[in-house]
Amino acid sequence: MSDISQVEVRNLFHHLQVNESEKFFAHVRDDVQWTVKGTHPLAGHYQSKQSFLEATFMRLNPILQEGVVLKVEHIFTADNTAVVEMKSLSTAKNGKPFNNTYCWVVEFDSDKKIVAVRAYLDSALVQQVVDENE
Amino acid sequence: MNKSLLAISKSEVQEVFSYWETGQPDKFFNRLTEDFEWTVMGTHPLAGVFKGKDAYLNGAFNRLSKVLKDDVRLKVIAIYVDGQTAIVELKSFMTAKYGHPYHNSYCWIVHFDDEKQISAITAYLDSALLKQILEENE
Repeated sequence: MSDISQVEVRNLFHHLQVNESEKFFAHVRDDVQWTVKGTHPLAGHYQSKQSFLEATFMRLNPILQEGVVLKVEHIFTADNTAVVEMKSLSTAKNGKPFNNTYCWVVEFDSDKKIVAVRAYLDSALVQQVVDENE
Repeated sequence: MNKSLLAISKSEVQEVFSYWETGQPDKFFNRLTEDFEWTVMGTHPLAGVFKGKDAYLNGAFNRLSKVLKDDVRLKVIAIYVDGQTAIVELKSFMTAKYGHPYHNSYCWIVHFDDEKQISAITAYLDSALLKQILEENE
């Protein structure tokens, strides 16, 4: 198990802010265990990168004007785990801001690839943006 | 300054949070500093920045307690520590006044000061579920 650093996490998550999510997801294992917490249409326990992307990013992208844009607020690290607080800076198709807040608990494997994520977010706001824009 | 000198340990965090597990949140609240800030994230009636214990109790905790059948209990799922900050994943297994289960999931970012008192908390939670429980039980 190798420790992950603040700088490594910051560089990796920067891709999500500058519309390079494919570069971020290149560091996510195909067999990632990704849990989106909460009661809302995108929640679930996804057992692969593909199923996570299809159920979340690919569903949100068409209803957000600039797609999914996430800005890092704070990063904490403990051994092979990073905790990343983020904000979304997107606008929904109907013009309303989609200012969601996220806390991702991210586990890295020994190759520093993401092997598990538990994502906490404002589920009421996700429900609203889906209801109003799909 | 060597941050490890002031760091909080996982077992100290576990001890403070054991009060939530045993339904004694008042003992947890005793560890809050006078000027602490509790930020409840999300879009729901209990969200906001609460400055001081009384503001948090009146604005969030007491209002939630009233719609629950049980004492407020939270189960610790995982603890991570980075210097003076602990990240604690929690779950609730409570029942609302009218019988609906209230199984929320939380991630709290908890900042400790040099005396190992809690100076700030940022709480992420399932806002849709909280909203629903308030609408159905208030």
